[in-house]
Amino acid sequence: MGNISKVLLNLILYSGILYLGIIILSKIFDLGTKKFMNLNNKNRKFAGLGFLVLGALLPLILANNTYALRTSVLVLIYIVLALSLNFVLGFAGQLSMGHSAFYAVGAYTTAILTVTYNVPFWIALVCSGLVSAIFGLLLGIPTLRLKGDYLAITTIGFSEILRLVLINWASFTRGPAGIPGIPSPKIFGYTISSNTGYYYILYVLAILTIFISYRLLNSRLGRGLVAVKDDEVAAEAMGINPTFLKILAFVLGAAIAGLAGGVFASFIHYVNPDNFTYMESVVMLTMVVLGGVGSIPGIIVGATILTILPEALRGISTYRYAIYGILLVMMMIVRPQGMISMSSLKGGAKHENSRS
Amino acid sequence: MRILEAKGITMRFGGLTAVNNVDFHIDKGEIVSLIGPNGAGKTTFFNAITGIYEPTAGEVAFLGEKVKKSKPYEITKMGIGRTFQNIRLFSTMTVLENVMVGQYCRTSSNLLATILKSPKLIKEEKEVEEKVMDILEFLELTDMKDEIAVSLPYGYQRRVEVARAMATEPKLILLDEPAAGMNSGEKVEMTNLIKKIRDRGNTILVIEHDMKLVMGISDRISVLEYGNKIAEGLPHEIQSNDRVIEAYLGKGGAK
Repeated sequence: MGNISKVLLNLILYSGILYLGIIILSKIFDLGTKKFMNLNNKNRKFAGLGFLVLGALLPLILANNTYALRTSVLVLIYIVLALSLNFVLGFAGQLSMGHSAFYAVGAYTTAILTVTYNVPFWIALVCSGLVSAIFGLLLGIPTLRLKGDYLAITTIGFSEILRLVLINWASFTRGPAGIPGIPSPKIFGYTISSNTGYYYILYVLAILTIFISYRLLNSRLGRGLVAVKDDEVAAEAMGINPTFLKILAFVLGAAIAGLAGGVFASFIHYVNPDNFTYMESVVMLTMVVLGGVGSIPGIIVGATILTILPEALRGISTYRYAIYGILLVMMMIVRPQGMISMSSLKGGAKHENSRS
Repeated sequence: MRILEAKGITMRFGGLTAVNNVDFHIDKGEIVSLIGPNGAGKTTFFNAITGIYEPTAGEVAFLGEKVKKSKPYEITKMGIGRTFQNIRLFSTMTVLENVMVGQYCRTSSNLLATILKSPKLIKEEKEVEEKVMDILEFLELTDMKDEIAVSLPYGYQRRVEVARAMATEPKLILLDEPAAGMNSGEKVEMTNLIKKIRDRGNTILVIEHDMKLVMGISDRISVLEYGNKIAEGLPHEIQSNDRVIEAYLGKGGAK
């Protein structure tokens, strides 16, 4: 009994802290977004470039701190993963809860190709993206007819089945023991094995993902996707084939998650089914929700916070998943639009135009 | 030129006959209204002639071609644009973006072109923006193009919906109860707007309850009751038609 009341007390305490944290963070990000939106186009580009350079220089700043650098690599992996989930959740508005499956497919493709078949890392990485995309397509065609909760359940089912296959198909995946000894990538005969090296590989991948996200968002296809998310019936009346666009978003998200998986496999040199549980999907979902569904800067922030936070709070790591749960609920109550919401980014644009 | 011609449309759901042997046609540049009391089968009829339902009997020709059962997006691509009875704007988008979505079915750039920003895509985007700005200008929405569409007053939201339907470059525009929920001032504006759109060379089919609006704009009116067409003709003919009065006001209402 004493234990339960202690746990409950802790949970209530954390809820309170999270509540305050969300409110404070909301205020900070509101202010930041407003400031940023009041900048003119040139200054905005300048600010964007500043972040880019800062990101590129980070490994030099952290050069002597292996732990911080390693965490930064993880941050980048989760930024890519959360952004890849955003294609499905933020652009097409489909609740996919099995995104870790594509991450797993990517990681295992790289692992099996490089270890069992001695394929060079870069070719294996491309295959990771392709194989994940194929899985996305195969899963997407039947399931994207479903909506909301039903789609969520089906995708959870898929990711669990995949994990069980990874565990039980021991002759191919080595089962629960996992695949060790995944080699480091080579560039021009140079082996990239340092954290800094991986940081830059992922940095490029993250930039690429952000780039694709923005290009897509401001295009015909992107508008079509957001239309499907906002109102599928009206979107169809505008001549949009929603199933096609949803599958497109799903495949794109799966491919990018697969690429992240491939780099991850090489980064930790070892894959095992436990890396790709359902909780991993929940973590990605929480990142997207915390940052702001559909908002690219928001998701980068969300992924960063939620990767660093558990590292900083190792002391209470037993509560980690409980905290994710509370955080999701709190976000829904206090700030459902996320830290940097899509509409605040647009509202800023409106504001600027009305002044000019 | 005949835009749409329907002959002997019958629509049965099990034992219920929702639409019974209805003939209907609409010519280029006309405003035709379809009226009838609640449950008369207006929407069913509309769904049957646009191919959302396959009629139990009868044939529909759109621009001389037989209409097959198709998905809503195929119908739009074929050239029938529509608005909704209850406004359905894209809630996270600005007015401009809402209307740009209408151009989706008239453009074709794919994912690769989008990511690489190919010259074709840039050209296409430019054309889309020009067309959309043209429509916004026509409907006097230019000033509010960067507002979030659903934050506009009701009358303007309707206008955005109309603009969006026009952006699909339709041969026939269907307005499903365009005056629903509007005050009298907004109704007058809507009347003028519909006429203005017609004068631009569009063909318009209106499904409506509001008699004043219907009488003010229609070149021709068809009246449905219990799935049967009980009258068709010019507004003043319909106004004095006994069966129509009976359908709307009940027996003895005409006296």
